[in-house]
Amino acid sequence: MAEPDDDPVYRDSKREALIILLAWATCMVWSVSYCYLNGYTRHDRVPGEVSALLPTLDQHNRTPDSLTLPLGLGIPDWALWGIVVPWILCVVFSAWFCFVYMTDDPEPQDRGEDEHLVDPAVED
Amino acid sequence: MTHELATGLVFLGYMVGVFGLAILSNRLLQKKSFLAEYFLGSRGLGVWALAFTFAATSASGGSFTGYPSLVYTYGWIVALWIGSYMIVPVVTMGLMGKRLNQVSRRAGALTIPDVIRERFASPGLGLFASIVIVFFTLTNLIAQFKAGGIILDVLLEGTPGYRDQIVPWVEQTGLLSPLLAIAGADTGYVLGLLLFAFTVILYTSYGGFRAVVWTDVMQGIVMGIGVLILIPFTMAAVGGLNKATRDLAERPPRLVVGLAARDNAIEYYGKAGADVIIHHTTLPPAVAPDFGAPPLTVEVVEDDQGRIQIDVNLAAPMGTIEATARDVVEAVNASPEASAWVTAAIPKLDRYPDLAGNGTAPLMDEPNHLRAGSDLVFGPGLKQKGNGAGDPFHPIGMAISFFFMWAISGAGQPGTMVRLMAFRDSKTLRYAMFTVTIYFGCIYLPIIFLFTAAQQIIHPAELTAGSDQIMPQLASRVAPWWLAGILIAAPFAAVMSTVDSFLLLISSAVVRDIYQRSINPDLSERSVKIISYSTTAISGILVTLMALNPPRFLQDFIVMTGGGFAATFLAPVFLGIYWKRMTRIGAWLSMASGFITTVILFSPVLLAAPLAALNVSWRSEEIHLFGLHPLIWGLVASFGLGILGSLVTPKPPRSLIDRYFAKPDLAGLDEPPAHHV
Repeated sequence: MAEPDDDPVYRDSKREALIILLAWATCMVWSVSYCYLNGYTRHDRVPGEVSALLPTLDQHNRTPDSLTLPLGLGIPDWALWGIVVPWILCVVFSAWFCFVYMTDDPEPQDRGEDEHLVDPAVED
Repeated sequence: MTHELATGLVFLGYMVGVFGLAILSNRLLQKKSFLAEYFLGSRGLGVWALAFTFAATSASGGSFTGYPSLVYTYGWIVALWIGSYMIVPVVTMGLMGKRLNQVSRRAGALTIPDVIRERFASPGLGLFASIVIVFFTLTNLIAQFKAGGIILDVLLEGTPGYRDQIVPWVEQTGLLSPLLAIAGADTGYVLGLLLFAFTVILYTSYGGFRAVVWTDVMQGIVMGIGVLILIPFTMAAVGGLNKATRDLAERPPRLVVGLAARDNAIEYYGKAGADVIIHHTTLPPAVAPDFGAPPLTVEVVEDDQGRIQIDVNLAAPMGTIEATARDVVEAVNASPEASAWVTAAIPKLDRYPDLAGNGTAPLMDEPNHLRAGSDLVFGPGLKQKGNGAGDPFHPIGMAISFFFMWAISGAGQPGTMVRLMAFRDSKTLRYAMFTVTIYFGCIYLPIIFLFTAAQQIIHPAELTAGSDQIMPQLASRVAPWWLAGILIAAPFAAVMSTVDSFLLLISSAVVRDIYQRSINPDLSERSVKIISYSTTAISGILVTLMALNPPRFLQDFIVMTGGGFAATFLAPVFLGIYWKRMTRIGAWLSMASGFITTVILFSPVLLAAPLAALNVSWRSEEIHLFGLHPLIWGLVASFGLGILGSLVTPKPPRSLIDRYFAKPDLAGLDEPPAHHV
């Protein structure tokens, strides 16, 4: 719960961390789902493993003769749309995050760290 | 000029640069507070230094040995395996960077155990954190030193006078006999390891954090240039990525006849149906050779129709023969014709009933599997060795796990977190984060293109020291002499830049967190210096000795230590800096449960070697509960128990909360931290 006396670096960092976690989750869901559905030659459902929770996906089993290399880049279709294009979008996201969204907070008070300034902590 | 001479010159120039930077760093060290400079560069990293030290530390030896080896072995599916690197820089630097930097300044912390100790006002917790760091870092360093030894061995291989004079001289004088006995008599590897260890230990011990960061910048540039330059040469050699991928997809199945001791395989594959016929002949017991003789022989001949005929003669009836993969390979290698990269077809196998041919599969203790080229272009790939050979390489559970593995686990590494304590201001962090995003994109994506294409250039049987060798081998094969040196130095630089920061991590844990904090807080400046220098050096020497007989597959061990670190440190640090309610007990439960969960799930790997020495049969893979990597269970335990433990214990004292969460004027920063809590 935010309080009025909260440090601005703490507040901003928390908000930025949330955006980053959302971006990471989006990447994971898209890349894993797309590659799994479009790039796997078989979908083994192993009892006791996470794969057993998935519906039968036999109709998605990829056949080698269906391979395409879009745009003549030599990258298999599933890898292009599942990994390479999202990677490029992540570079764009990173630019937005670093140069537009993320704030330059007032520099925290630096205590002029020196090992001699800090005594060992004590258990209470 | 030859590749070898160019490589030698680049290597020499590289060494001069490394030691020059160490000397400059040591001069700075004399002018500043020793510990803060030696272990944290006086918290003054700028954009380039932060970006490259972060990137170079993350881009470990595995990135230039294990990762290319995986791409080469499993093909395009490794793109998904590494896919989370698209978001790794933002997650690992941005998730905690700004806030951790602030908390560490307020705590006056130089190390991650320092942060934990001050945030939770608990010396015991700090000590535990230090011990865990030493444990996992030592494990990781062994794998990294192994990579360094291998790379340097390859790098020196063709240097004039090295193989024909220096190595024989070392062998004749018996100078390294005890070490060679431990290492299994591979003189080249031992020499490479010793030279690598000497270099890295010397400059790290002498120059400290600043030397490590500066060499990281230099190494980062070498690595980046190396990979980028390799692209056009490799693509020219295979006729473009489009052709390479198509050729790979259309390649008929290969029969891997055997596995040698170091991953290389002898394979027969073909364009037409019956180019090669394999006969298995079981000798009658009466003519079976003695037990001391090879239990299996192989004859290879070309018949009058131009086909290759291979006779595999077993010395005992099928089912009772005790031939191993090594026996098969040695027997095949004994026939000169078999070493050719021939076209072939495959005998009928139970696992692959659609394939035509005669006979049955060769008998092996670690059977390898037929792989059509399409297995290298689509998922999930096939594991190639060990008990799980033939199982999917990257099933859905692992695909999910590796998004946690690289991005989330990366954020929880003490080696990367400590760099987030060292940057100058948040503007530095923003620019560095974007720089690393570009840098990783320029390295990790091209490596997929390069080493799937490398399948068309280098046959596995040519990698006599294993597939970890693929990058230097590819560089030697396709690059002109004037570039080979730089390209071969790239993986070497990667390993060094990871090893140096890990060495400092160990010595900072021992000197700062264990000795100064817990044993003798009143150390003089002179004593601190002596202990810091010597601890760094002794840690390096110990790791060198352990790396003489190293683990087989580099990446497994790097992944294990990475998971262990993250499961132990991510939750207490993340919750500690973002959640006021996080308590000391919560932190204890979080760290202990993450650590213990990881060790338990990885125990098969840890126990494999000792039990094998006792002739006890044991699976050597980590436990994947529900098909998910141990890291995920470590994180679940660590976050779960950390939150639960905090909620059931009293809130932390107000003064402690204010110190790390309130505005500067209310935080009591003029008071020493963590006292009177």
